[in-house]
Amino acid sequence: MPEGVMANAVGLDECEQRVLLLPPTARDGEAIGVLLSDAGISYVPCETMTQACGQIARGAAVLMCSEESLAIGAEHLAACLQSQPFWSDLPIIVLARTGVESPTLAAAVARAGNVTVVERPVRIGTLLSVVRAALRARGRQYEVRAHMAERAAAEAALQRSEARYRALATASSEVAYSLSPDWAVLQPLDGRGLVASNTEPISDWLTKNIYPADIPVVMAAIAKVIAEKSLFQLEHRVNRPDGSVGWTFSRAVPILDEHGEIAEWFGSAADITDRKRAEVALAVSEQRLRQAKEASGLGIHEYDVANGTIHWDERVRSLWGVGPDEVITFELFMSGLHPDDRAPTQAAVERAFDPSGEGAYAAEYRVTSRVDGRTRWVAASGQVTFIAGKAVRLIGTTQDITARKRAEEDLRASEERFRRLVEGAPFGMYIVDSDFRIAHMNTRSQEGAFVNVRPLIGRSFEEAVRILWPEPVAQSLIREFRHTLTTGEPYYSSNFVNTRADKDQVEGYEWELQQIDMPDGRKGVICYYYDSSDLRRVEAALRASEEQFRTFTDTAPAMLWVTDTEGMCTFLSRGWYEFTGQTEAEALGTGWTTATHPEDRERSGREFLAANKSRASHFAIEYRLRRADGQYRWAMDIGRARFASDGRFLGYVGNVIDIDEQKRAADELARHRENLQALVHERTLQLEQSHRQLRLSERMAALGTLSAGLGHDMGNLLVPIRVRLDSLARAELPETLKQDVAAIQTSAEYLRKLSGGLRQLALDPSRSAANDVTELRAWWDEAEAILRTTLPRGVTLCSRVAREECWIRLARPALTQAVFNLVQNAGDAMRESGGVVSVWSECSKEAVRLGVTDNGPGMTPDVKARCIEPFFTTKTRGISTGMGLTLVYGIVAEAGGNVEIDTEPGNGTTFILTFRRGAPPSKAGAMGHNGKTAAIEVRDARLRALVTAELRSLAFDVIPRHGQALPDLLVVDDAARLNGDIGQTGVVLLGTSAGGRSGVVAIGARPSPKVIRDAITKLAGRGEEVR
Amino acid sequence: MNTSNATADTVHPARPISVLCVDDNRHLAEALRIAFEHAGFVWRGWLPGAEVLAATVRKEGPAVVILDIDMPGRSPFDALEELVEVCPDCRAVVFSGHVRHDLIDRAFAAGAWGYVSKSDGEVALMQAVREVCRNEIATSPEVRYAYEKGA
Repeated sequence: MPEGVMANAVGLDECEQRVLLLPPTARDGEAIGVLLSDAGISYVPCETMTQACGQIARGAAVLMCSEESLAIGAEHLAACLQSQPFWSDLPIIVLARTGVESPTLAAAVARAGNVTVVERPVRIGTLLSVVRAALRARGRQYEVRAHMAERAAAEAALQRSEARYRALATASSEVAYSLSPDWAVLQPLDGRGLVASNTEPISDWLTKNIYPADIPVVMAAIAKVIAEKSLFQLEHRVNRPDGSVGWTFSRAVPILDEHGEIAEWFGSAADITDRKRAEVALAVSEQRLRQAKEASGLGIHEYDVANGTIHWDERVRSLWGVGPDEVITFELFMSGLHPDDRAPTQAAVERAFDPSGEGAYAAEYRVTSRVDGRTRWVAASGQVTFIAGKAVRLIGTTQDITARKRAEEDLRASEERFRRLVEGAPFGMYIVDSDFRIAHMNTRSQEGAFVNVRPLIGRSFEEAVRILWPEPVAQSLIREFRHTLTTGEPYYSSNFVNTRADKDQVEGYEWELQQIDMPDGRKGVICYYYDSSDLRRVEAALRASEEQFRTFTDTAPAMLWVTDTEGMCTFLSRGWYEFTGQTEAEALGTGWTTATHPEDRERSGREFLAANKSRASHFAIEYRLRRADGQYRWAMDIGRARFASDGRFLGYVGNVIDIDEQKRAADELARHRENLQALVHERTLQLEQSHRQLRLSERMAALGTLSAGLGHDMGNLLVPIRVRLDSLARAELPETLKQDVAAIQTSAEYLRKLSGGLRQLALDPSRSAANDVTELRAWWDEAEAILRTTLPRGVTLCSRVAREECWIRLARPALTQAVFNLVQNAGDAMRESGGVVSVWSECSKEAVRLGVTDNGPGMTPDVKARCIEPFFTTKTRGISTGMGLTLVYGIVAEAGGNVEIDTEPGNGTTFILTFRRGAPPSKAGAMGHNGKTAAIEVRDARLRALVTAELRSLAFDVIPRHGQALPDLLVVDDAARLNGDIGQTGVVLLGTSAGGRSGVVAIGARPSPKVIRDAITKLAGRGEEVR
Repeated sequence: MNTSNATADTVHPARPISVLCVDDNRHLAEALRIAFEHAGFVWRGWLPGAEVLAATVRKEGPAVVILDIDMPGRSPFDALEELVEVCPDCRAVVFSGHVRHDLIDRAFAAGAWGYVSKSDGEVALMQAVREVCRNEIATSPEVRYAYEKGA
């Protein structure tokens, strides 16, 4: 298609580009057709207006018709055009007859609208230009149609978007609300901090939630939207729940019912308080900016991206020093910048042109003018405009900020100087603001006094102080700060010394408080302080040192002195005067010697002078020194030579120490040493004696082991011997044989007794039967006959045993054995001479003396000393084992008694056995269960007997269980027998588990006597000590 | 002893008491036979060891067994336990030269009725045999002494 016939023809239907041709004549039609074809315009020949109208409905660009056909089809055409879309105004070219003024035509033209009348005959050029104009007009209509379509699409999109928006609003964090159609009742809502929440519908929401001054505006808006059923949309103030005033942007939409009436209002309110504040601030700021612009004169720069041109106004040009007509390029721009500023500026430009950004441009840089070479600071700003994501233009301003920059730099430098001054100051500094928080603190303080307080800046000052100082100190500090903060009165303290609460250390400070104005316009308190702790510590240490020195010199046992080259004493410390009672006048020079002991004076004086004469580097002299109370005390005087820096001898300096205690101690020690030696000697002797005794004991122990084995075998041997002898004795034997048998029987009996005695030796003395007691009189009645049989003919036994009741602590068989041996010995001693053996007793309160006295030959001292040794005997081996007295000794010693021997040759012998006197055993014996009762329900006869034996040996009374009283102890073999009340009765249960019952001890079905006994004593001992 | 509790296991007082001796010492056993028979007991025999004690007792049916505990071969304590199981009516009296607390305790745990020291002699043994037949636990003086003292 030839160029530009129809603008925006692209995308049009072919039909819509056609010219409908309704010619006056067929010839005309042909001619015009050729003409149009030649011009590249498509056409459709129509024969009637009806036909043409049909084509119009399908789409046409222009209708060219003759006046005649218009006249005929005007009605039809009008109807056809009426049904065209409203954007359509079909151009109609009417080929009119020349020179005829036709009213019909005029009417038809008026009806048809967009009509161009061309008179016939028509010139080709005219016709074509008319057709082309018509086609262009039609093309514009098509454009309108396209725009209409776009708009419709946009509207549909908008509707979708609004639906999404509504959903978003509902889901958003804004306050969603719902109101009655007349806005009278507010449904429950969650105020979200913007307005008060209400859980029930309320009708006073307007006064409650809306800021009073805004109520009329809100009411007016409500009235309007109710009347129009339109969107409510208003920014207004609200009463926030916390009492402050907030801003909200509130939108509400009417929800219509099926009749088109308002059913309810649904809306959301956004909290725009912050935005409003910002807007106010922005407005103020903008106001200032405008004023500043006016005052400073901003330059304007503009960069047209499309054609790549940069426009600078004269102010900008003057900064770079470029002329008014010079073409500005980016390179020119960059070349004027300070090299250090080029890269940041380039980056700022690139940021501004980044389509994903805001398009804001801001940079500060230095520009050097090409004309005068002056460098200025420039602040540039601007905004990039984007169209369809493409940057098209940057427009902005520049401002000469050199003066400001200089001021800033000056300020920074000044601040830096100040900061250095403060930070480097030897004092601490911090500021407490009007909220009583630490607003600022210099490094010295942060790392010094406040090092233990973290976080620090912004922290409550009271908290910080309480970390550092104990409560009373902290309180007074806080009080002073508050006072200065509220009254403005400065405060100064020079003697603040206290112990820190966060560390165990005393610190001292000089400090000063002043009220200051804070940047926020409120008041604050600045505290300067100087840490005087070190100074005070040094002072304190010095004081302490002096104190110690004084204490030392005052209390030290040393007495200091100084002499000159001549040996004259020139100084004596207080110690000397106090010790000796001398005055300075008496002591200085050589007067001090008068305080020494007369016996030591000459010697000590000589020794001192000798040392002085020889310039000895050291000397030490001991002498007795008279104390003020007249007593002489040993003293040690030690001197050391003094020399000047040039080596000149100056005399001596020295001290005198009271060494009397040491002297005495040394003497005492020497005496002790002597005593000790004596003691060691004595102990050595005792030890040797012990060794002798030990050797004896060892022999006795060896004998015990031997006799235990011997006793066992003896039983095996003696029983057959005895039984056979008894048989023999019963037999009919000759008298001589009978006597033999009797003699053997006697020997066997002796052997049995010896065996029993040997077994006594085998007993471990540590297992001494401490509880065994024997009643002497009853024992004698039983033992006398046995003793009598042991005496040889011619020796008589005489009893002088006391007839009163007297208990001794010894088991009855042991007593028998001991006395038997003594009596037997006595009898043996008098076998030849004959005589009397008397057994006697003496009972005192504590002890019992049992004596065996004979009137035989007596013993020599040597025999007396050795008689108790084992195997020592004076008799022929045939009748003595040499063990008799040893056994006696063993038995008596075991019982805790002792043996005395009173004998001398020719005057007989008396053995006196002394025993501790014992108490008669109670019925309970040693067990202490006397009076306690026990019942036994055990089916097995042997176990029953065993338990009974144990109970009896423990001194229980064994009673029937179902007697009148509950027994203290019950032994059963069946837990089932425990039915019924057993009260406090302890139970020993044979063979079954105790089942955790208290007071029940279960033992095995076949317990040993020990197990039974332990169980009984355990139960019986529940409230008492048993053994 | 509370003899009112007497049951069927009590030997009739009028009947002679039968005994069986277990001891590895033949001379001793023979002597005991003489002594016991002279004293009116019925001697059921002698075993040199405890190996077949229960079987012999079942066969011979003595009322009392006199048992040494220091014998080679089978442990007399084991034999005693078996005896108690097999012949609960038979009563054992230990007759030993060893008088030690632990042995006494062990013998009674194993089922002995009595414990007599050989040092206390055959008379003490016969006394003990009579006592156990009266449902009493029997111990000779030396045994009582040793037991009380924990020797």
